[in-house]
Amino acid sequence: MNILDTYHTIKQTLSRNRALRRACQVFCVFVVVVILAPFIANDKPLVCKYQGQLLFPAFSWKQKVVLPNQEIIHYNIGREWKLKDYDFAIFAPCAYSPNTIDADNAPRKSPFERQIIESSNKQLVSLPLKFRHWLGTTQNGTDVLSGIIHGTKISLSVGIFSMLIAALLGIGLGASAGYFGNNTLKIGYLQSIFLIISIGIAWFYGFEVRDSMLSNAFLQGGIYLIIQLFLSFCICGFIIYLFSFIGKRIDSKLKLTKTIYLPVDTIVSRLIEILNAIPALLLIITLSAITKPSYTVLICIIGFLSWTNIARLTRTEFQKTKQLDYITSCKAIGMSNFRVMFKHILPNVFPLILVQLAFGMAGAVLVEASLSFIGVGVPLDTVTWGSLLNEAHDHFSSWWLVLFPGLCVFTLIYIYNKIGAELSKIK
Amino acid sequence: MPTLVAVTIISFMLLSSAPGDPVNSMVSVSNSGGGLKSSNDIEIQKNYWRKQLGLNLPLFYFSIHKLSEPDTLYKISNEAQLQQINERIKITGGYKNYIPKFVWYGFHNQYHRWLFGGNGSKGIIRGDFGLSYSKKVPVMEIITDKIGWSLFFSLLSIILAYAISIPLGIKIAEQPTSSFSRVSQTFLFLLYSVPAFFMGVLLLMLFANPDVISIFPPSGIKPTEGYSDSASFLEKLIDSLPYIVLPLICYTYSSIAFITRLTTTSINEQLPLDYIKTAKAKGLSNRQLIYKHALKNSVLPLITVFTSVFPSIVGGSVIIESIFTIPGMGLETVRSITSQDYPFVIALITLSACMTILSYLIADILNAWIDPRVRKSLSNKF
Repeated sequence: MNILDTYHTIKQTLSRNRALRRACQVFCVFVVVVILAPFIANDKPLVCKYQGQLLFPAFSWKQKVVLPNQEIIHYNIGREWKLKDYDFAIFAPCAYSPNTIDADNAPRKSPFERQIIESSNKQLVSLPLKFRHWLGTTQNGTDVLSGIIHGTKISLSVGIFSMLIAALLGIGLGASAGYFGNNTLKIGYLQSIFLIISIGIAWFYGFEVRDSMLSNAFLQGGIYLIIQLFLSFCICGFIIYLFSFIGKRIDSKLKLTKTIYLPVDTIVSRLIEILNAIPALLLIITLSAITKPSYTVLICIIGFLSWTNIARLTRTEFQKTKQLDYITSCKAIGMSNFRVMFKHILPNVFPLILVQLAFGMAGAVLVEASLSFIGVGVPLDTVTWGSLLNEAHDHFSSWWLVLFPGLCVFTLIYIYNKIGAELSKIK
Repeated sequence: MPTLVAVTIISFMLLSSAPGDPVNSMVSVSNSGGGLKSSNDIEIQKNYWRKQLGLNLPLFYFSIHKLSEPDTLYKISNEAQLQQINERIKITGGYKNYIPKFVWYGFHNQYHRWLFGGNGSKGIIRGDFGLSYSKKVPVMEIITDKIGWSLFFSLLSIILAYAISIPLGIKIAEQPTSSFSRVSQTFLFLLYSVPAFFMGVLLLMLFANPDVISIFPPSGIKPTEGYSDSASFLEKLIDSLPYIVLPLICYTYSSIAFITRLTTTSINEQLPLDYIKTAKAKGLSNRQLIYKHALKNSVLPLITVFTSVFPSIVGGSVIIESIFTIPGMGLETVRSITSQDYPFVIALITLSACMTILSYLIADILNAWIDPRVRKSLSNKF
């Protein structure tokens, strides 16, 4: 199946199913908001002419600009951008960044209240319409709309990337468990002994030798931690592979014919069972309390904990499909296991996995929002939908803090659920 | 059983390797009460607690470490000293840093002590989960203290959810094309997507807000002045009633949505089958058809969902409890994680894992009890 075919299938499905089309459209709106976020909600003007100089502050990566009259403008001056005397200026539709504190409208201004600004001659005047806080402000005076727009990025990326990890792990492990079962993969007797020994040694070289680096990485957190852990696992995998290779070689050299089956299915099922027995939210909170909170780590944790459902589904489907005749004929013409698994079975199973993925994304978004709502295990300086709702928790009489971020979380979860439900109806 | 052991090992290893010296916080807590003490005194106190908690033992039965490391490195607890030693080893170790060494510590280790007891602790198999670091009382005491409300809410909400959603699901399945079914199905699907914390805050905003309607108190679980001493359980319940309503809605709404959907789909799966057609031909009314035949056969997924609540009985709901400040397990969990009180967390993970496995077991037993087919296949097996 090439890309063009896939495109046509998707197009056909969407044109037949109205609810699915709607949900996808809303999802696309979210994606567009994420891409355009810096230009929709930014306290820097998009274009301005200041002292005869044309500037594009919102599009610039520089820290500061030096004007012809030696005046230096730093780009991170926050709300002071609004107080300058421009020749002309075009601001973003929502003229605030998520962290910009507008002290004049500080303790929770409603969208309908009179909002004020301190003009250049130190007088408080009504806020002009283009600077209005359309969805009100929070306790500190940050803009709610801007927070929502920039929070979209985190909610979307948590859902998508964590499920990407979960899908890779779940499909890989579930497929091998379902396809190989307990008595297909044969390994030599010595090789199996080597494998068991190699686990300890792999642990040593992967984690014990890199001890200081890893503990350093735990302190730093973020992407650095992920890279270090990934490296460690790579070393582990390499050593295990090396040992099993040596074992195989020795087996064939000594002409040992005794073999045992590698119980792939049992191993994966046990793994799934163990992960399911641990309460996920509790484990996520605990893990993210151990390292420095960051969204990269959170995404990885959610991904590594939620592959079990996908793996279980993939496993049962592979078990069913591998008994069909076309798979037997695939094997008969000498296709490799890998090719049979991923080119001939997976495309038949994938629609079902897609359903599971959509529900999984809803779950991941929910977990992220819940964590930022209770303020555990997430960086506290980032504004997200959950953290906005957290402010509403303390001041629930400010309805705009409750309603708007809450509706956003609800909408995102709803469209994921809707996509999942509609996809599961298509047989 | 192997699952349970694996879970305990994972949670134990994970939390024992967490940063921070637990004894530090214990000593500083007791220090603030008793005025200044000399550093020597603090060291002695720390060593006392370390011995009491068994932190001076090796972590596990065996370990694999560098050849250049001494076997007794675990006895050093001072983090600065440990770092110094590690750096020294790193410099002087040379090639020995890259050769693994296997050390067997025997049964005198932290995990074994935690599991089976020994100097001062009885071990979890006798119901002793160790001492809480920050409160210095047995973890079991905290659990029995806090589990009440979590238990109450989980059980009440699941009973309520079943009582509402099974009749509702049947009604929807009876007339799938009626406007009532369609509207309620859409509504329930919307309800299912509402996050619990949004629902909680929304309820607070609507019903505990002096600006809108203020019928329910915003937080807590009992009147601020406490119950009167002579109050019986029922009177206490009536006193707490306004406090219970909002959290209960929060606990229940999503399970109502979910279980109704489940009931409807599983009955719908049964309806086109032959035995229903036979029953219809026999002249049974629609009602009898569903209650007597279809429902019985579609009850299996409902049982599975019912037993899946068990783990949350011990865990409580972190989110709902923190919204309404209910003094239950969820709130205690957050507290213990933020104050690095890991024995409690390990106990909670272990208990939840136990409950999960128990829930599988009970689901199997209930299935066998209700479904003769399952019973038959089981009796064939043994």
